[in-house]
Amino acid sequence: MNRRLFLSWHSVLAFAVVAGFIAWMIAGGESPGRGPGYHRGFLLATGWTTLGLFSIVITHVMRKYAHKLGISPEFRMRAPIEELERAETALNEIRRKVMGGALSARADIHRAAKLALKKHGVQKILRIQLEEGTRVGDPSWRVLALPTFPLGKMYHWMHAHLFYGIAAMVLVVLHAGFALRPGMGGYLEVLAIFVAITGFIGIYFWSTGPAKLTERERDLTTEKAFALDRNLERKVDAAFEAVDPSLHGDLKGLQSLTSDFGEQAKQVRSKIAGAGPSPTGVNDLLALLGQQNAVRSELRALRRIRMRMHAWRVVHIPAAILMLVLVAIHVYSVFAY
Amino acid sequence: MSTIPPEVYELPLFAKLNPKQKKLLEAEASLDICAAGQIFSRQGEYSERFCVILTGGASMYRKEDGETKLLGAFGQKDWFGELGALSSQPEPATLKADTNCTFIVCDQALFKQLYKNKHFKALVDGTYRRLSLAVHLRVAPLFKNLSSSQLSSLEGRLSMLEYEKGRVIAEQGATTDAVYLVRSGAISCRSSKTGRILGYYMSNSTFGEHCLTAKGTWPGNYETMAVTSVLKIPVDVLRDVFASEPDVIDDLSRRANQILAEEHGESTGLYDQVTPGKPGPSSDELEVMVGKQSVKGGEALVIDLDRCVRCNACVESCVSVHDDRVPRLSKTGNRVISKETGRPVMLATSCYNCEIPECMMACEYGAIRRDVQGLIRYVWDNCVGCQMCSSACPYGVISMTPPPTAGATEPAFKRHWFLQTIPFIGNKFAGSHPDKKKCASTPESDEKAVGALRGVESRGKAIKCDLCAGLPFEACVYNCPTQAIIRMNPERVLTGRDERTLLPKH
Repeated sequence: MNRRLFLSWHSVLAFAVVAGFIAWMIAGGESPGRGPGYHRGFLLATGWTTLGLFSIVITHVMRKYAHKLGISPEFRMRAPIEELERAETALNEIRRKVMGGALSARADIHRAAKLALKKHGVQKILRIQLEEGTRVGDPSWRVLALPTFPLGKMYHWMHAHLFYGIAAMVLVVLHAGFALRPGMGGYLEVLAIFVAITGFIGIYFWSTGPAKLTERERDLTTEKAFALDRNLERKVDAAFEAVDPSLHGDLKGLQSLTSDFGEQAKQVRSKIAGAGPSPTGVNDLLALLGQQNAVRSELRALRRIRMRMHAWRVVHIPAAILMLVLVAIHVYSVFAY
Repeated sequence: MSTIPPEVYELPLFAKLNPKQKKLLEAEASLDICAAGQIFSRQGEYSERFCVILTGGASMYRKEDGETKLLGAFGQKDWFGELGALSSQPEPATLKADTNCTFIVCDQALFKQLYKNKHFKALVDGTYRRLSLAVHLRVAPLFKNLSSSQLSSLEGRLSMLEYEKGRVIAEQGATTDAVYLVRSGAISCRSSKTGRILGYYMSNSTFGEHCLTAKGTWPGNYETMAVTSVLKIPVDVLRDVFASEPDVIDDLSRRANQILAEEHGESTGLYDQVTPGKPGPSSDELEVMVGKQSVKGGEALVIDLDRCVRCNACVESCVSVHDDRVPRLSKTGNRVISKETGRPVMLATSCYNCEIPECMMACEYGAIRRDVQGLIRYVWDNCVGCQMCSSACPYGVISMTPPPTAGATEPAFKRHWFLQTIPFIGNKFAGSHPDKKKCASTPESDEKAVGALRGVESRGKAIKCDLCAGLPFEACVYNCPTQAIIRMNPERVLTGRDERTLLPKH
């Protein structure tokens, strides 16, 4: 299981938000939702916070698709390679000074390195990190120029999507007051829970699926299985050419994937043998069909694992879109009426 | 129109160039100026420029053990930079202008073409012997303690040899009779018994130190991996020259033992397996890594298979950040169990930024170079599409792509249909579907023209992972939702240790 998917400071923040509201509800004796004696401040706070959390969740999705389409703003932050190389040369000069002892204070080194990046206009591309030299012969500080990752790596956004999505679901329930009444509020609550459940399923498959797939791919990877299947298909086609066309009907039936291939092959073999001496090429063809069947069943098993890792999105995404549309209508209707 | 003054062709160095080479010189050389006190090239940095001084003068310095030494002076009609242009290795010394200088600059591609001329080669090699040999020898750890006068005394006694690719220089088991210093190219040492590669020797590295030790036999077959130029320093010459200085021979023997111990013990960690009692990689893994030469790579793109959800975001983002919309990454490659994490990982098919880049050695047109960080970069203007690099790459990470039409100012791919519909800004967006019409190679395209000038048939442009040069991230690493993809030293995967660091860790 990939536990890394769950290790994030976003989880702490999301938990704190939810815990804060629950503490408010219990300590203040507030009645959640719009039931009798409801607290307007609590209702508005849960509503607006949920909207804020949804915005973060949507931003992640938008970033993801912007990357796919190549329209992310940071994709346009390209610096000329010549300038990057000049900056690196300037950093080398600073490294030499550090090595020679002319620069020793951490703040001075950092300032000089940052200035070098700024001078060449690459401060948005690279950031400076200083590491203290630990081994004998190392400089007192190692000056590293690392990429800035301007808007954060996608796996941070993924964590944000996951944990703020869960927090939003809890807040929706608090906002609705645990009541599944018919009407917009009820539909939204049900949808929020449904989207969260599909998300849980997805995250379960994402955390366990890769290991299962890798384990399964130990002997035959998906790419190799595809190549092998194509190769066997060519060989089977050639083997069919060598067999009497009157036998094609029985043999072609074996090509469709079956779990009891061995049993069916035995039946076909005995049927053909009963008609007279074994025709040429049948044994070769049956052997090839057996191999093809084994490869295809392996390929199907691999596909099944892959499908599990991605199929949940077929439900999660439309449900989430529908929920967001309803959220927009809900917010509009609150202000309009 | 050429910027080269006509009197340049009267310089002895260029006097006997053939008409084709003269045409190349005229088309590709450039004139540059350097103010007094300015540095042409710096010790330890990569520079592949060969320069001929037209006016002014410069001095060569080398910093060793904190002390800067003046090694020599260059004047009018002298040249420098042949070592970098030949070997793509860091400069052994710093060159600083004493007065205002004007000089002709030939890039690596041009230099390699001119170096094919016998007269040019003889003059360059002669000057190398006279001016640069002592500096070059000083780069080798074996000769580090020798003084300049001691190194100079070796000059006339050394042989400068050049070998074709695939030539065996020394055979396993034979008596070691000389120390070799690689001037350009690269050499592999392979055990004839096991077939395993025991080491690689690239420019500025030495082998054959065994001749100064008690062992005295070659440990493997030493075979050239490209056209390779070496300096042969016979052990008899060393003993003869330093006959009156027994301390020098003792020191050389001591250093030779030290170098060999480091080479086979601590430096790479790969030889741990043959040392009883030390934990090392399993033989299967070693076979995969060494046999497929992964250990040559400086930095590999490693995919943690237990984390990768096969969402393809890495490939999609790679496509998005490149104008030609061709991914530089393929999610296929060697699968091994990482010694560092114990999890299965894949060394994805993406540039390893090899320490011994066979692609760079194979390229005769200077289209592949090292930048100041030591990363392998393409100079697209120089690429003629000859495919030598893609066939030389041991990992198959270089592919060919049809270039955009000459004169096309827009990226050669379609814009996404719905983005185009956005008023005012729609035409600013790039899409992800290649426009085959625009991508099709045309007779007017740049590399065809460059190829025609050099007599080569072009098959497009070579492309490989450029580490998203110029961007504030590596797209694949940046966009992975599960942190499954990372750049790291393949040795870390194999041994759990990381002793070389070429790139920053993300």
